[in-house]
Amino acid sequence: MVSKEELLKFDTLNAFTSQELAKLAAIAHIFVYKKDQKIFAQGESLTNLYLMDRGEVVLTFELNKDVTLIFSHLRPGTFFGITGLCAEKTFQNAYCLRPSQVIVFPLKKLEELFVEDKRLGFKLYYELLKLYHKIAQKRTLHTLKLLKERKDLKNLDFVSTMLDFSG
Amino acid sequence: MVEVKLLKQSDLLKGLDNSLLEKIAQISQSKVYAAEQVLFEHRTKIDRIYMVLRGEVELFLPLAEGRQVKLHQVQPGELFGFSAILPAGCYTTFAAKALAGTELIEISGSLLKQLMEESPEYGFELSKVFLQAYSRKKKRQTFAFIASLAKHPGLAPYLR
Repeated sequence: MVSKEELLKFDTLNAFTSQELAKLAAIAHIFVYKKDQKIFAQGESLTNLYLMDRGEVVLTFELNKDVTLIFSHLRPGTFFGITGLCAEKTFQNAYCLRPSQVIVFPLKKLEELFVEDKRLGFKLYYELLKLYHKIAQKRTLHTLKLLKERKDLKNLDFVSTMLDFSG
Repeated sequence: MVEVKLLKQSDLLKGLDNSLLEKIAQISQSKVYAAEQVLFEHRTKIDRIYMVLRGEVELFLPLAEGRQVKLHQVQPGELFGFSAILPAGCYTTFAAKALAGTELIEISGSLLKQLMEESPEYGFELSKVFLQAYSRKKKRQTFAFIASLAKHPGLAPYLR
């Protein structure tokens, strides 16, 4: 269990009432990870939702044994491991570049909470929708920047794969 | 208002409770668009979630110098424009135009959001379905991008 105050510091939880934060805090745990520790690995069925607290965690994809792509550096207050809520296996690794602290919400307890408090469930899902959409917006801007900088790229097929995100 | 059976043509919506579909039907209307008619531009705040009933819609990104890149061709039963239920600051990440003979269902984003807020059960059910759709698309996009890296290895830094 974490304290409600621990959750109050995150902007991503601004929409939640004090009572709702208390409910979330009651089922959450703080996990401390060491440098180079994996929080989860691609292909796993996740049993938790994660909230970045402090340290440095990256989401990666292992292309092969030599090449690992870094998708994002997580900022404090960013949820990750969302695929677990969608009953899908994750396709990413969450990896600690430095000792890190993460707030962990067990999915089973979250689901029980949503059964008794649908508004809380709606609010959390809505925040996650906003997060996904912001990622899409960021990728679009990055791609436009790329196309401005790399005028040599004549074949634009790859752009559609980067942005096929019909949100 | 549209008929509930039309909404059930969507894989995303067909599993929803009938009472919720009836509410959605009440805040929806169908509209026919001419070929090449633009539904909305890139980076705009929209107030409609769209579902293709007949025909197709092209999602594209306009570039400088008159160029544009096609992102996706939306088929009957598919939905797009989820940013309509998101707050200010969440804009479209593409432009959309109708292709020949296109009929769409347009769901009012503001009224749908209101419904979700007033009825937490509906809000929970709908946001869950929309999140699953986003998640599937994100996964598909990521794997497609990874495949395209083989052709354009210099793009890796732009993934971040």
